[in-house]
Parts: sequence; structure tokens; C-alpha cells
Amino acid sequence: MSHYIGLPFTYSMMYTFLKLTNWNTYIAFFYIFAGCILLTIFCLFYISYNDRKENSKSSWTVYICKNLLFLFITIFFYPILEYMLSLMDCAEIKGVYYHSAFTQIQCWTSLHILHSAIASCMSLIFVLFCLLISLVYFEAKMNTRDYNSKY
Amino acid sequence: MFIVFIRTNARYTTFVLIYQTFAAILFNFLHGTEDYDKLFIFYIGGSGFIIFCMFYYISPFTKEAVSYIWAYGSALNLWTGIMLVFADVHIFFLIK
Repeated sequence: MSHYIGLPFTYSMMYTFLKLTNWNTYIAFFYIFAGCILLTIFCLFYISYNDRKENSKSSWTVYICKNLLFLFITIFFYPILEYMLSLMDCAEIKGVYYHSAFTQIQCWTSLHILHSAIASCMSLIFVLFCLLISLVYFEAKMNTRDYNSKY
Repeated sequence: MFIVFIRTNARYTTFVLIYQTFAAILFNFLHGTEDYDKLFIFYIGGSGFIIFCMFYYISPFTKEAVSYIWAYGSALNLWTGIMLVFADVHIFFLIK
């Protein structure tokens, strides 16, 4: 019974969906998430650089950046972080480490080292970035119409 | 969506992100063995209690509706943690 109650909550995680596919899809989605994180960081740098020159508060970069940041620090924080860390989730079978979800992939050999290195770097960047944004991105004044607050 | 961000400070929501970070690390790398599962369960129970106290007694949100949603969410998290701890303690005494 508890299995069926917990099922909708389990399927809110991306890892649960994507481990049912193949390894290539799993890796492709990992790089899509990594790309989204990098895109947001570059957008932030672009906005701060452009702000010195002209007033760009209503541009599309601000719109993309705000919406992605909103998603990252709220509902997508745990799923993305777990997904990236799950790339390094290996289990020992007869002395050899294999990936927990894809048992045909041997851990810490060939391309898995590269993927794991990128995953660990991106996880660290993602966590630090989200913590920083979470500390900054809030409105202390009770003014709901100020959509461009903190920017 | 912007009413979610109206609050007096961002310390408590940042604490939730830190809690989620350590939960993800524990869940990915330390699951499977009995001792580490205990650590994970007690981590969820302890942190759930702190988060519930933060959002129920000293809520940072100025909007009442948002404050209630966070309080209910943290209460659900605490209840799950307490149930896991009770189940773990019960199994421990059954084995003994």
C-alpha cells in the first residue's frame, strides 16, 4: 500500500524516469541540465556586464535568467542535484564497480571518469550558485508589483 | 510567482537547500549498508525537526498563505522523518 502512495512522489524525480531509458539518453539529459546551469550563469554575467552600459532590465536575457533561477532554487534543485550525483552512484559486484542503474557500465573506467569529473564540478557549481542566489533573490519590501526587485 | 519571494530574510530557505544537498549526497553515496541508512534516517529526522521549528514558529514569509504552505510542507517532512526513526528504532529492538 505504501508503495502505491509513494509512487507519485517517486516519479517527481527525474532520475526515476531516466534510469528506465538507456545510458546514452541518461548522459544526454545530464549534459542538457549542465548546459542549462551554464546558460543561467552566463546570462547573469551578461546582464551584469550590460547593466554598466545601458538599462537592460526588460530584455529577454533577464526573463530567461529569472525564470530559470526561480526553477533552480525551488522545485528543480533536488532533482537536478540528485541526477548529477547519481552518475557517480556505483555498486560493487564481484570486486568490480558498476553503475547502480545501468549495470553494464563499469565505473571509473574510460568515459565514466570524464562524466564523473564533469558531474562533480557541475554539482559543486550548481550548489554554490543556488545558495548564493537563494540568499540574494528575495524581496524584503511588501510590494508585489516590483517584479524587477534585486535586479 | 513573485509573492513566494516576499520574506524578511532568506536564511531559512537557504537552510532547506543545504539540507537537500546533504540529503542528496547521503542518499546517493551512503545507501545500501545498514549503518549508513541509520545515519540518513536520523539526519532526515533531526533536520526535519529544525526546519519545522524554523517555518512554524519563526516564519520569514510576510504573506500568510505562503507561510502556511511552508509550515505544512515542513510538518509533512518532519512526520516522514519521525516515522522513519520510529521504524528504525522498532526494527533495532526487534533484532535485539
